Amino acid sequence: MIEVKNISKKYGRKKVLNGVSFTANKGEITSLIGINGVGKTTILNAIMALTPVNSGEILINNEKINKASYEKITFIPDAITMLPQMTIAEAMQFMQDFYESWNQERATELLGFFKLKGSDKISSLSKGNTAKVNLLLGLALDVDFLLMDEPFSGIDIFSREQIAEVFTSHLIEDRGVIITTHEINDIEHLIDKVILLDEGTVIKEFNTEEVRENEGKSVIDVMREVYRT
Amino acid sequence: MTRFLKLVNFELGRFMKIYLALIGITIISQIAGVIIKSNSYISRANEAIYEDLVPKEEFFATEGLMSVLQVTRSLWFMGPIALCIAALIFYIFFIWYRDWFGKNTFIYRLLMLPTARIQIFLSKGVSILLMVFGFVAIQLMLLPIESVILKWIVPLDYRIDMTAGEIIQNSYLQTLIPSTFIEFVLYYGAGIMAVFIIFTAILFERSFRLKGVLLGAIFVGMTVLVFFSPILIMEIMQTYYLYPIEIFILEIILGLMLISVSIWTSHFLLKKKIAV
Amino acid sequence: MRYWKIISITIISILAIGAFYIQSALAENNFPDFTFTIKSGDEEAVENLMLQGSYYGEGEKGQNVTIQTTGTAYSNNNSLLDLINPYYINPKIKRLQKEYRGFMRGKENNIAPFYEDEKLLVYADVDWGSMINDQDFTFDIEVLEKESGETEAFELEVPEKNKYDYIYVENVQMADEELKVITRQSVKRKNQNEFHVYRFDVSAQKLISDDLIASYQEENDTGWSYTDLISSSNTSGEENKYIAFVKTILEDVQGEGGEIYSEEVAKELVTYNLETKQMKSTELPDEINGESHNAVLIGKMVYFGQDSEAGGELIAYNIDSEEIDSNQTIDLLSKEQEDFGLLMKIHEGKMYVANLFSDRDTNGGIAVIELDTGEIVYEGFINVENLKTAPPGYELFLNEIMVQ
Repeated sequence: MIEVKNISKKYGRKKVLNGVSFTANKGEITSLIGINGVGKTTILNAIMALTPVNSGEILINNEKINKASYEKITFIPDAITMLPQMTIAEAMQFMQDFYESWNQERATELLGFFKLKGSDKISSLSKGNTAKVNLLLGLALDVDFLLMDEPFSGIDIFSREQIAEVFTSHLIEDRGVIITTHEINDIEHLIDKVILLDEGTVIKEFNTEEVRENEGKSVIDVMREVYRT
Repeated sequence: MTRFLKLVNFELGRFMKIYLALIGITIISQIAGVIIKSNSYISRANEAIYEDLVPKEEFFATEGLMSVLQVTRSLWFMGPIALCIAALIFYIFFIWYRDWFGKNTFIYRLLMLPTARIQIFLSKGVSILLMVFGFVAIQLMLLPIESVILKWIVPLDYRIDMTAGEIIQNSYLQTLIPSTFIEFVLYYGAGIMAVFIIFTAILFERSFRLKGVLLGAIFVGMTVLVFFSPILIMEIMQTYYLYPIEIFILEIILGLMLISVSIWTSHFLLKKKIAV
Repeated sequence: MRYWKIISITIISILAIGAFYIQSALAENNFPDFTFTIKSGDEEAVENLMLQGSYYGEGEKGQNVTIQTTGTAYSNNNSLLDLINPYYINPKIKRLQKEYRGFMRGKENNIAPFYEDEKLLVYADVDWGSMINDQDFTFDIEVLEKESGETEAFELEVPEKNKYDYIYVENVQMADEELKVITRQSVKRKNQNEFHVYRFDVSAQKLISDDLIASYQEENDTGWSYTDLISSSNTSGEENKYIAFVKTILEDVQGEGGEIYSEEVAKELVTYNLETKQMKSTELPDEINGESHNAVLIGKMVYFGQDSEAGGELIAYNIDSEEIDSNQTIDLLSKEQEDFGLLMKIHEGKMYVANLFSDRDTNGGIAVIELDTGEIVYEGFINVENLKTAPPGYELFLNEIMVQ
């Protein structure tokens, strides 16, 4: 379980996060939703200790993040985390060198699934393929939690479909996923939990299934209600 | 430990092309320098002795005998060394900033490695150090080769043969390659200290951005002040209370202390304050 | 081989740097060993002799060299290790630092403010104040009783301290609890030098008297003059009766081309009797023309060492009779090098003389003369032990004779 407890973050005078709290469970896909610039990425960065927060606490399986945590939780940012001069195979080799949780078999499987070539240089890849490599490098780790920042932004429709397919596959299965997005359509039916953010605070947190069954509303319906008022 | 060595290897790999190119430039330029300087010496000698009929002794008295030393004073020799030094000084900064700049955000990867983050700091430091040692080693191997080439071109009675040690002691190389191993350790120990302190200042900047520039500058200023405090205090007070050997030991202790402070501060910044 | 980068750089560095330093540690230094080759006299006379200078190999940079009977030591003047154990520290200061480490702490490499006898080690210097509080002149007096190890220390302000630009202690003497400090100071804005004798009662920690013993205008309308204190050998344990100075008077002369240069016109010996406080000034005979820093005062005798046509010359001058007592010529020293001259040092009753310059063709000479008798007790040469180790064009320049 990832517990985000009352975190606040300022950039200079500007408050980006103001007492954000939520939890994300293993086996669930939690989506952080909000219009751009509401601090979704900052939350993911804060969970991974990639940016300091001014107050609050984040626990991963009841522990503060430490070096061993990075074998249990990984983050796929919206830009590639490997050097552009590397080939895909070299990037995979790098991951294998440093992560015990790297699953080479799964990586090879993903390479085939995404129809990527190991000998290709990252810098030569299309935007969609770069995103796939980025995803591959995260998904091939046997981690409990996977954080994804806008995995669909700026990518062609076919790549999007292929990526969305991943979410229903055994590649996600019982992991916990936190995903930020402002394009909910592609994955609306996959999401278990939605956290709506606005101006640095959580304005609504709900379970998609409950809302669908009890109120007969889709995620988008709820969003409309919340953001229009 | 193996992860740390992998990191060092990886850091080295990222600069390897430029590094090898610098080594290539050094080798070519220095050897070209030996050939050009030797040939021009010989032609000057021939002109003076056989055409202008200057006695040999007189020519040697004004021109001196040819040796590698004459080459070391030329741009052919010192130029590439200066270039290598400049490149490494530049790289002390670039080794960090390249992880943040550009479309790729490799710093995400580095900070998410399942290793203590201070290893990133240390691996970058060790990489710089190894590259410095590599340059020194190449220069040490080049000197005997250059002596041999000079021997091929310049006849025996026109030249002085020198060992690598003699060449170094009589040229500017002395500041880079001191004559005793203890001094070598001290010089490069001080160098590591300086690199670590600059690294820490960079991390201040990366953690606090604009405010960090000021903090980094203050950090560097404080370390300089602390390191030279025994000498500064004595100069200001005009009392030389400590014996040179005591100052020396004190400086070594201060140096080790500052290295520890730098590593500890960097450890703290990387763990708590760094931002991608 | 995935780790070739780290492995190859490490191996190449260790091998090349390691080999270089192992080789340079194993190899004898490439500089020659110098020895003293005796021609006549007693080898013991040079046992404590230490010559310092610079050695130049062919086409090479100068190396600091120290030559003793026990061996030749080179030191590279840029080396960090030389800073820790400087070769130029006066051997007497070195000995005192070794024997009285605590007492010598913070005291500079200058023998003038020290007085030593069997019982006492006295330090009396003028402290110039700190960088912030400049020209705050204070006497800094410390007396160490050798046997008990007890130190008595006190500070006193220099009388009329604001009058002076600088104050140097030239000599310190101590007898019967009375400390005499002889100083040279310059008066602010006056271009005038003064010599003073300050007397202290050490047990009362008080200044007894401040006597101005000489005051010199350094420049006047016709020329200028300079005055040097003749160092006195106070190792005999006896109190010195005199302080002596050599005043060299120079006059401006117009040369043929209209250029103005200074010419030495006279040398005066100025003596001050510490007991009677009387000053006496006499013109020195023409025979005495050497540098006054090669002179030494022992009792009532002033010994002058100087170059002569024959080589070196030792002149003994009697203050009481105002006459030259004896004149000893050393004609062995190499005469081919008029340009370079001689180096001299008077120490514990002996005068040591050496040629400034040596090379393959002209070995520099060394001589030792007993002051009392004028007897030459040692004559010899500076030689390279193994000629193969020195390049044909080597040069050796001496700059200091020290006796340990």
